[in-house]
Amino acid sequence: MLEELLFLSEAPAPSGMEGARARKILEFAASLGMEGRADKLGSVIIRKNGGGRRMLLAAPLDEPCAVCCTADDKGFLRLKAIGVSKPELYNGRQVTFAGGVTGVIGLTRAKDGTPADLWCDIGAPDKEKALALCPPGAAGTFVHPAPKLRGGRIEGGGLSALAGAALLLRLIKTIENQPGDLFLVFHAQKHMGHRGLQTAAFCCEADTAVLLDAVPAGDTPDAKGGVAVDSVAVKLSEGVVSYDGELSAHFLERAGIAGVKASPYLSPDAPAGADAAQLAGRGCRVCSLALPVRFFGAACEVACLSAFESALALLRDFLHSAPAGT
Amino acid sequence: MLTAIRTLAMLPGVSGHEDAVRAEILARAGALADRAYTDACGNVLAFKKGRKRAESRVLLAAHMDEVGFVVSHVEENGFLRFLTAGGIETYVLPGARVLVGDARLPGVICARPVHLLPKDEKRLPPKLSELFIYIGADSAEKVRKAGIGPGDDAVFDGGFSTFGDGFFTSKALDDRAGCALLLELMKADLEYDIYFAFHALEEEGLRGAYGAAFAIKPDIAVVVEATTAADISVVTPEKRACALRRGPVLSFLDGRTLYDRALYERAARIADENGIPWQPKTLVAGGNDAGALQTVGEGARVLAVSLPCRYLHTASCVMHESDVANTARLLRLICDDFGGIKNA
Repeated sequence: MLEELLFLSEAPAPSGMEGARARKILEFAASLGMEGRADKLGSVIIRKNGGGRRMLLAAPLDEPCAVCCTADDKGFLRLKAIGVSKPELYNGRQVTFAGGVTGVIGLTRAKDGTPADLWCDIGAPDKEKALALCPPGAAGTFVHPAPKLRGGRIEGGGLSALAGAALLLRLIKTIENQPGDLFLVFHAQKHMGHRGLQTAAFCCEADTAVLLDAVPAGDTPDAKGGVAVDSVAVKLSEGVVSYDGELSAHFLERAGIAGVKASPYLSPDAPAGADAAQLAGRGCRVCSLALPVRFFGAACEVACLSAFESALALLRDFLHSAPAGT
Repeated sequence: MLTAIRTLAMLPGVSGHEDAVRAEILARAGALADRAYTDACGNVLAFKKGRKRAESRVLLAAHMDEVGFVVSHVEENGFLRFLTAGGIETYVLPGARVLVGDARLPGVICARPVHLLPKDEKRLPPKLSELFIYIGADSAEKVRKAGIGPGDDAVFDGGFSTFGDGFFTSKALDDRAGCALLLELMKADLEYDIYFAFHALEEEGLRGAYGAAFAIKPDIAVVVEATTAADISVVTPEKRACALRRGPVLSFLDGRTLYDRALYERAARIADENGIPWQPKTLVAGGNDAGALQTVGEGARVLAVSLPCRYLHTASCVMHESDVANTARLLRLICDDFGGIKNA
């Protein structure tokens, strides 16, 4: 997992500007002899032909980011954060914009204490100089410690954004002789409502989609229950989105047979556009596996290597054992 | 150009009740385009051949509906209860003049007088449930005889007028001004084939745009819109979003859409190279049909070019003639450039 995380981290991919990471993945796929392309929204679609059933495996390509909207007279950038559910986690964080401009994020609170506006100190003395360094629309990614392996777990930044893509990347390296046509999709703009997933799913016309992602781990002192960090989360529902019951049950059953730790995951909240794959074109059966991540969204997160290996084993098994009719 | 904007803006066209605007646009587009027709959603779609076949399928889109009201119930005393179509803040409504139903009967939106409000309510916008439209009929029977009933629409009675040095005001400039710009483009001898869409139901969930995108399948969609200008003294500069008299507004991000970065930069470069003033939209708010056009089917690369407009979604939107002229120039150049983009 560490290798894949580091590979992905080498190319920043703020939402809507995933081109560098997309090219890196396409080059990697080409080196393995796989055919791939980027679609109009910038999602990477790699196809592996097998004939028959059409299965889509998808993971987010992008990462949360901060977009410069303007600057004030004192040279502070005014930012809009994308994919940031808790702005307070980003107060004091470093951010890097294209061209190597770096800054530190600050947070203004409303009278009732709720987070209001994000701003950024890039060391510019006035508006003109700030916007010359960082024009409106420039996107910055959050600086975080590089992932490191410590015992059986990985500590570092960006795990929640990259876990699904790391899983998919590892699968690509090791996949062989799968039945059916396989579409391996790294979808753009997850953090803008899964927009890339919707258009990529339409392009693939899959019968079945397996979405790979991360969820907050539920085994920390502040958590109110949920999936432990060393288990694979099999999503049953998120808000109004219900995942395919038969496919989810299949994952849990196969995990039991293989002695792999997997737990059902239900959340009252759904990320915007979580139903994108279900709604694209004529629709398809959708299920989802996720890696639990502690300190979700913080500068340093924690994930468990055994959960990654378990998810990988379940995915490989699924390619061959998925219920008939899918 | 101002005459066309005026003509279109004065037509009633609340979301879902766009018939009058649709008829006018269809007549004009039919005379200018190679093909113009209406679809099942109520959109007007058109195609105009250029001197060359386009490398990419380029769509220019504006929406023809406007925010307004729909009568939901007639009280025994003749007062009309109503719902809003599109996003209208209720604080702009008390005392507003409206035109109701197909007969366009004049009416006024009534609210409790401010001196009768409890202290804690004076600072709050009025509740929609406490607002009524009064058309001068004192009973439900008289309202019925006037031909008004539930389901009828009502529009702001916001007449068109010019003021100051190049400013003009009217209801529905969002987005009849955009429609007028598209019709103006259709008059030109375009370099490439271009598709045009005049959407219905933008203010009610971008519904028309979904149908249009499915039908046209654009590679590139340019949304021509009106966007919030808050360039007034009580708003700090970083919150103003955009300003009048600074040219067309290019969006990199709004409440629904991350726009195609390459198209944004390309449009900005075209403007710079041709001495056209332009401005980025510096506040992330609102949304437009790009939100739908981007994700239908295989998706489209999207760009928004907007006219800066004060007091959106009120009876008195305000724009400036120079912004209209500069936006028209930029759109023409964009059409002649984007059609040549390969492998969009």
